[in-house]
Amino acid sequence: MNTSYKDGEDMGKVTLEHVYKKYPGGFTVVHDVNLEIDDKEFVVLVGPSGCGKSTTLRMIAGLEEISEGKISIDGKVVNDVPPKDRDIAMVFQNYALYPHMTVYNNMAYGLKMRGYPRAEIDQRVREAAEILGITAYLDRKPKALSGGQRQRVAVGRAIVRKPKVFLFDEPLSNLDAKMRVQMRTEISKLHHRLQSTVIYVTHDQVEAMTMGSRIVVMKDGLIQQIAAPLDLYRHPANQFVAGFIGSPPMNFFKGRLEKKGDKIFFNEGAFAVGSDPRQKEALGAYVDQEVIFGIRPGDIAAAPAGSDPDRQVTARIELIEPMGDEMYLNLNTGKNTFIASAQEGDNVKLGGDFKAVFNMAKTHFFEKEGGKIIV
Amino acid sequence: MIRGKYQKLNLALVYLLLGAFIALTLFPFLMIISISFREGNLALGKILPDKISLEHWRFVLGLPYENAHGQIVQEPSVVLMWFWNSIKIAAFSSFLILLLSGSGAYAFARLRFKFRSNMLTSLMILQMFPQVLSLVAIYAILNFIGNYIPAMGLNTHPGLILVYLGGVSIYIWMIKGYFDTIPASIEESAMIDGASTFQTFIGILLPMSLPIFAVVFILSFISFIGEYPVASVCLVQTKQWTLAVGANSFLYDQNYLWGRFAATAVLSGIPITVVFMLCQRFLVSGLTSGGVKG
Repeated sequence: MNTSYKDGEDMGKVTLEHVYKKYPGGFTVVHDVNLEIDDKEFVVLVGPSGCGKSTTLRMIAGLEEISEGKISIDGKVVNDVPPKDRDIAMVFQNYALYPHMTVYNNMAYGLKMRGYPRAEIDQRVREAAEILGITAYLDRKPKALSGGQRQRVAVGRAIVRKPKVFLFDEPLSNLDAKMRVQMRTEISKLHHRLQSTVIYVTHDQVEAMTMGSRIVVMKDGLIQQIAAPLDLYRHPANQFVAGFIGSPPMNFFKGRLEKKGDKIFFNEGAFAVGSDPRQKEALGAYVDQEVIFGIRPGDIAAAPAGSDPDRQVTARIELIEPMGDEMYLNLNTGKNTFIASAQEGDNVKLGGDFKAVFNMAKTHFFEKEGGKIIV
Repeated sequence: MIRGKYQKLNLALVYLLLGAFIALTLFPFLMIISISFREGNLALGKILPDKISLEHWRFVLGLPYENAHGQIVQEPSVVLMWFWNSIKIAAFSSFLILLLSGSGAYAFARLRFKFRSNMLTSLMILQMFPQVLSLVAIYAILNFIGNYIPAMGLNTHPGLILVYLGGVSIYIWMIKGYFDTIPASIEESAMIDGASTFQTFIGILLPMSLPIFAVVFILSFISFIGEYPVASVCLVQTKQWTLAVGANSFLYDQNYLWGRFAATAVLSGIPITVVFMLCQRFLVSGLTSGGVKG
């Protein structure tokens, strides 16, 4: 079997220019989306429910009309092209299999509709079934399959057509946790094998981080940031992205920036920490102003003896969540609660005090209004 | 399950009530059967007649029978003709109702167009008025149509069928309600797979909707077999009558021929039973299960 599953040199480039989706009554769910997705790229649209990610995907699929803007696939504007002529395939969250057809016919349906010869349909369906490990179920109806198998059939139905672009609409959110992890790696592997463009919608930031070569974070119909997974993690564009990407989420504190001597301190009220010297320039303009301070739980650790007092915070332990090698502590400063990760050997006791040290080099500051990043 | 003493008593009481209710429902039916086998044309009498007489059935089925004067009579059965008329009209109407309400419901459930909800509501309100109320209008309209298309005017079966199709709105509501429970993503899948709207409707939605289509067919079939007022106005000539109209003709002021009426009534139950048995195999649940995650 060919390692590349694609015919010829099809280009699966997808471009969205100033795309809007407005509903009657002036309700706008997608706001000026601009996006350029390269051929063979795996792009993940991620965001909380109602952020417009699914609507965006459905507009690319042609299931939803575009109110304004332009969508092109392979350099061709497809605004008025029906779904079937866009050379795309879509996998739905609820599988959307044809319940009255066998697995084989489910997968063959699209090819039949397009008038492929019988022999080729058979060859393609069997090949896809082989890849997905569902050959044994070809004669079954979807009813007789487990959730994971059904989703495999849905994926199979998409890949038999060998489209330019694959669209996935939260395909894993109906599966149980274990199956989700397994299918996640399978879809990633499939992408390498098929060498097609994939646009993948999810609300799960773990899926986004692990699968995407680029991630588009959306909120309230607006793109917040487009970046590679680690860039997103390390350099969030705003407080929303910083809080959305990463698990457990980044801790945020509201407080004031104060200049003491040559250093800029963040004063939360219950504690004050000195900012990293590299952040000084950016923070200078915000001295004596309210800002949001963000730090990931992983960048907080138990303070070893003799650690820098400017980076130390003492807080009460309200809850201990053991995760195995490490544990998450829910801490209370008296004004705010936050989460820190502690190691197995750390001396922690419920209700006791925890002396934490903040890794200030990895912290972020955001504007109080709008949450735009300062540094 | 372990039941206490009172629960057992309770259960017995429930069975008793249900039994009484069933008896109450079945009684008229048994009466009709009994009357059709009873001698003479009286409504009152014993449930189990002293003497079983086949005179009414012989009359209805066109077999030779002995009349009140002791003569053997055989005449072609007009009842069987009505029977055939009824089946034809009910089957055709129900089939057309399926086509109309199915496609109408599809539009209301799946397509977005202006005044969609207004139209749905007005359909609902319009069907609250009994068709009988518009008898005069129906008469006038059929008369008018008959001037141009004689085959669809008064006293024709196509004319009556046309009138019956006016009752489509309740079925549109029923089917739409069913379509609404089927996730649109299955059809969207088919659209992406390359099926046209029509192909999606026929190949995907229809097979999943067989139960509701069976229900609609049965209900409309039953209602058309039993429908009297409209049919009695639209159909004038005896040979065009339906069973319901014909059966009623046995009850004229001077003489209530209850026996014949009863035999005709029982006869009209036969096509209904047959249709129900045929449709029953489509009345299965779970046709859509497995297609989507619930």
